Amino acid sequence: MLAKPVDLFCRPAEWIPQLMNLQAETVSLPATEENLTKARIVASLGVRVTLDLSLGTIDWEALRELLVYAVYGRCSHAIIEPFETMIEQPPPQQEALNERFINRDSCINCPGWRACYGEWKEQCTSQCRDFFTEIIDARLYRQKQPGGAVCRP
Amino acid sequence: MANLLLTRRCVRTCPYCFARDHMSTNDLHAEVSWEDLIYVVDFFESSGEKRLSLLGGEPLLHRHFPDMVLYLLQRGFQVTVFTSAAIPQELTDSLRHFLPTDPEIPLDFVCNLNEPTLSPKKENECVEYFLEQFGTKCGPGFNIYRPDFDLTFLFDLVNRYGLKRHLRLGLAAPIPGADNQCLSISSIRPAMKRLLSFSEDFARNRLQIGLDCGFTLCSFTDEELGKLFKISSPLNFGCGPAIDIGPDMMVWSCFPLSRLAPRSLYEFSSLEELLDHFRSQMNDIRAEAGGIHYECDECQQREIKRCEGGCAAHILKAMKDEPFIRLPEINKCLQNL
Repeated sequence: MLAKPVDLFCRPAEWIPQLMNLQAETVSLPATEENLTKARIVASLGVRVTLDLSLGTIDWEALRELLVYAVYGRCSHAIIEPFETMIEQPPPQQEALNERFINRDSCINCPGWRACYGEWKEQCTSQCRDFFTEIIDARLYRQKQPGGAVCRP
Repeated sequence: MANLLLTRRCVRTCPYCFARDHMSTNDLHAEVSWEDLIYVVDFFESSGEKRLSLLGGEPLLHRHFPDMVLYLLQRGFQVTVFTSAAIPQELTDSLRHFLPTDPEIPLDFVCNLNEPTLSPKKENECVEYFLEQFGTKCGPGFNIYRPDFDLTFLFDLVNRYGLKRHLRLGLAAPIPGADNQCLSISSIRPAMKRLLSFSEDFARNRLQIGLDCGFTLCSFTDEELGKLFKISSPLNFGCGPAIDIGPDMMVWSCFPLSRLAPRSLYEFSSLEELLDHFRSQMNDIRAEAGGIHYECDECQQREIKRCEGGCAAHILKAMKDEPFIRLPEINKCLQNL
């Protein structure tokens, strides 16, 4: 965790040296559109990022692009959460399945449900479906990788 | 080392600009995004290349210029910035605030300098202000586009601002299918004679010449080559793909050939694959005409690859108005010019 806060609101020319000097291990950010770019910069510099998806409106398309970088990026980089957790999440519990099929959940036809499990029902859009479908693809991709390889610096 | 165009905007309107055609036919306000910068850095790093040149337009005008440079340095890259240095003084001050000038930091500027007598006074002031701030990190660059050029101002700037004693000397290349001021093939020889007339100044000021692409060995007499040997870094008479990457991730061989079948960086899986593609494009041109002179086809120096026969843009420019008698690949390229 950070020893003292790094002001990520100033320009990267200011916070990149601060971040590296502090040898920060994790940076937590609300998942706003602007912060998704910062998350990519920070992760590419080898510092783990945790995005808080509960704050503000999510740009699902931009989040999907970041997920693609996190999973398929050409070079090693630090982990970006909650992508890793979502990818490694176990299969849904029986009650979630009951909710979906017996109670005919509104998500019943959504291909992204196997990653979202209805948790994002309130904010559901076509972009969120694409994002969670990408999580499912990432899960399959990881399973095919030797040792479930994760990009790490 | 490949070049990444951070922005197409520029502060100067050089008469010889061989990027002008590219700039005028593409979105002038496009800038490299962080996402694309990280992709490019990953692309090079995964190809084992840790050097990158930043180009424009004027790369210093990119709104995230110092941020991106610091990012590249943090990723362990050796960064060379090609600049006119003719930026507003406030911008220089801002860069001075962010960028390190420690000689050990692998960040260098190549300042492409124009003759002050042919440039606006304000521009000269901006250049000198930049050199005052960053001089020790700068090496001079100069493009020859007419045979009666004058280099005396360079020696003065090098000494006054402590610039690196290595001059990157370029020949303004033609743009096939467009107009810019450049050395015609027949004026290359007089221009080289003129260059050697400064040989004593180069020696006295300990300023070494580094020849950029497009020079031909036969532009010099044996005696001149001897003089040149003494004042140059290892002599290079090549013309190979420079590899420029645009803000939209399109890639081409070099600016004068930017209309020649550009491709997207995303089509390539490694730098080697990308280089192979553009080397093969260059070979197609050379298969049709060995060099800028008819004699190049039979030249022994070209056979042993000591000289590549001059700038490929000159060759294509000469082919441009011919009937379509070339290889189908070349004809296809010529149609795009």
